[in-house]
Amino acid sequence: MYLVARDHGWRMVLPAMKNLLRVLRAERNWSQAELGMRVGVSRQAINAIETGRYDPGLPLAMKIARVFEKKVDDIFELEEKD
Amino acid sequence: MPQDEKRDPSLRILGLMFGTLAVWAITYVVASRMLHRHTASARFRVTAVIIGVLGFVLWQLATAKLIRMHDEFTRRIHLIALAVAFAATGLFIFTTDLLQRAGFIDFISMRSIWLVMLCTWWLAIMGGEWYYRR
Repeated sequence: MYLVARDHGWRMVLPAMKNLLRVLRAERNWSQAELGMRVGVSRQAINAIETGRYDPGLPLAMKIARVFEKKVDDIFELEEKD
Repeated sequence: MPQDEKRDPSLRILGLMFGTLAVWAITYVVASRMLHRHTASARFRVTAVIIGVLGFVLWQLATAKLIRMHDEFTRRIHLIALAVAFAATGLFIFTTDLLQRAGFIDFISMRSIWLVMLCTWWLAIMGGEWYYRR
């Protein structure tokens, strides 16, 4: 949670990441374990990212984008809720 | 290929961790026995302290290496667990200090503080794993 300047003063913003990992993985018929192996993390890490409980760091996000041959922005999206 | 290269590196580090844990236990017992003698020699007592501390430092280094070789997700769980252990230990110290001064409890060993930190660290790792992996 952080403060951002809006039109009339400051607002509390709750950032949340959305991702298309589950969809992209299903398209390629990969299991969570297989994707984890390709990017060098555990199956549990992939599960936590897919369920939105864990937001990956930049190196991992870039590795994920690379294995799907996409840009990070195409997979991860930042949602800011007031 | 040499036998060492065939072994899983995580198993090697785990072995290193348990090995250093055994070294820590041994050095602690040795240091305690040396200090129990109540010798007047300062050099002897300093040596006992150094032996005890060295064993502990070795175990800490092995633990840090074990954590570092995991992926960022597991490292995050450990980081949160350390923060929880830090807060819980602070709470324990603060509470026992007041209870001692109020006359409700007797002297508390410094080792019990370490035990509280170790237990809360472990519990917080379990809690973190449960939260993220459920």
